[in-house]
Amino acid sequence: MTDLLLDIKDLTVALPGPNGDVPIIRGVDLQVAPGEIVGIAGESGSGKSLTAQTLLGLLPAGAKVDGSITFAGRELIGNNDKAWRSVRGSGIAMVFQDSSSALHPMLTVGVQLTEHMRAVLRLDRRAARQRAIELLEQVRIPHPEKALKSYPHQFSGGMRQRIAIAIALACKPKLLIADEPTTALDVTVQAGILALLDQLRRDNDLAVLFITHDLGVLASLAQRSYVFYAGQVMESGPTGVVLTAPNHPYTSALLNARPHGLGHTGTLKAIKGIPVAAGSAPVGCPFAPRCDYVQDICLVRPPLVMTSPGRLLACVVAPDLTGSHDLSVADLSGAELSGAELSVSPNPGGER
Amino acid sequence: MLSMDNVRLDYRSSSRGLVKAVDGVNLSVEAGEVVGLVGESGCGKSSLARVAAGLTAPTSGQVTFNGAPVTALKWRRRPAEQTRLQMVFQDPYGSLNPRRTIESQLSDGIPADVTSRTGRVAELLERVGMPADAGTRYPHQFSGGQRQRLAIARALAADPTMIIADEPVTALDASAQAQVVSLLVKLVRELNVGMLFISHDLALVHEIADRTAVMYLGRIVESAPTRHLMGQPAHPYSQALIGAIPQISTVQQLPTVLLGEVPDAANAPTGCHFRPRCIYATDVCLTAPVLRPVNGAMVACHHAEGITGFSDPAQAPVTAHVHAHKEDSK
Repeated sequence: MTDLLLDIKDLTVALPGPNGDVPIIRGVDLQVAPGEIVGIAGESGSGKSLTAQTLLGLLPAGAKVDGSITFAGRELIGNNDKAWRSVRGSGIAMVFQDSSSALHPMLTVGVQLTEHMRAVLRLDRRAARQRAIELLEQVRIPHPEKALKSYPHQFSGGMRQRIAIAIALACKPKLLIADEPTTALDVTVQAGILALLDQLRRDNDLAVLFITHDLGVLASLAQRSYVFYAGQVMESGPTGVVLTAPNHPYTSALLNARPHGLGHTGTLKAIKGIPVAAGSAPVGCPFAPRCDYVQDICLVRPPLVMTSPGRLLACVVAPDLTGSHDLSVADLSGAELSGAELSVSPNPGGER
Repeated sequence: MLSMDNVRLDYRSSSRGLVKAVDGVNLSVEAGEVVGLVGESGCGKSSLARVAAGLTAPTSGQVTFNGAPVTALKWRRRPAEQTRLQMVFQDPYGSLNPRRTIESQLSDGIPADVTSRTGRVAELLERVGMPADAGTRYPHQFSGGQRQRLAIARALAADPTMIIADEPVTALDASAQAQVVSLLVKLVRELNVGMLFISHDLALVHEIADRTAVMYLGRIVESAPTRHLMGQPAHPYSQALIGAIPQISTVQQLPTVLLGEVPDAANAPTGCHFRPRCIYATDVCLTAPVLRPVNGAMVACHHAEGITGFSDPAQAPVTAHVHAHKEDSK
């Protein structure tokens, strides 16, 4: 991989706690190429959102950061406030989960869209307005001129998220971080946002770092994915391969815990145990206490090793997981349905 | 068991006018059966749940539970037989009293003729997989998933024969979701209670419901055995909902995008509500379709016969690409 847009090497982030610093992110390596959509999957508390905050220099006071983050050839760690300002918005921009609190309720969309364009790109009022209209068209907001004068509450959740994306794109960033941008939305609206992000990637050569706990969303959008657990990368590789033939027991467990959607009926399998609390991860493999394949060797932290080109795995046991999760789409044709299942009452409501 | 007969619920709001939240719904749930109700936000799912549980009085139509009408009684005491209809709410943070111990809250629901109340509390906690000492603790000492299990224990305290679960796992993490859903399904099977499971997550409903009803703007547009609905959805809206579920496969594929947005319920399109977003719509759709049997499902679509089914979800027919033009209704 040459000319990486983003290259994170051995990133460690510790937040101050009552009993000293608590390491939340513990040695993460992550790369994003220009125009690539990269996914980060993990449960809450796995450090995926903190990674995003680190990339924007938005860490809480007292946080200790170690390692290296190179963005477009520039080192970001050790940036002062002024240097961060030149990265945020025009280099790396972010879309948050909750668009209703990410937008200011008392300012019009126009004000929020043009504000930093005028400051960063130094556009005059008219040029900024013109670009704002183009952006709204690009994210497919109907009647952009009217939308500029409207307030966030006048839009639906999906529309607000589109506006948030337009704002993030205003200063032509090279990397967009999307932190669970569709979690609060209906599936139909989510489908629209995913299609939009993919379109923007193609049209603008925009790289996207997509953070989500929904593996289905990752599978449909991200070219490569990283699976996070307790602030470490468990497994990474091309999304389609990682999610259909996972190498790590944690990825496999995550897949089994989700409703499989079409073609699969069976009980949801919860992962045994509870996610490790931040900073209290055990020595060795953090997933070991919950893992079905745990061995003595797991007491030593497994290194992230390459198993095949483009695939990395942090598991020394590396059990054969073939067949432990069935994602194949079963035959759903009518022939499979028994007669009993088909006998719907002629009036499912009125019957007593 | 639980039956809703032509239930309507109208809200009147000064800014939006008349909102038909529930617009003539027929739905029944039998003992030991899980009925899923899916739809996007704003389609009237939660309004329907409240009417079904007797928390809101319907504008017209009737809800009956074991043959007796369910009435919204506000603060007055309910007849004992109606307490066997229980509800689990979406937000386990709001539905438990933060200032009372779990035991005291669980005891509330236990029928008066049960002699060993502490014994019953322990039994309930065990049933939902919580440690016995949970009774002496307060809600804030538990995680979201645990709280939802406690909320389920409280619903079970009254020995229900019917549970209405309104988005019970939406607020939870994926792994906690799996736990709570498995628990609910296990209870339905073991105790032979009926359950109306309301969710916006079609994949989840597919996993657990015997029968699924799809709701759009206050009306049920399709109702069928779940496998049938997922395999051969007849209504264009059901097809679009299923097509929008992201799939995991080796070949990367974006979910199918449905045209437009859900219209304001106060300003619903005439005729078939789905008409402006439907690629099959013709003039006949200007009159509202009624639910009728089509190939083993109940479908409210004039064109259902012509467009029924795709057994391969990848070939969902609604291929229109994103083009979010709102209906110019204002």
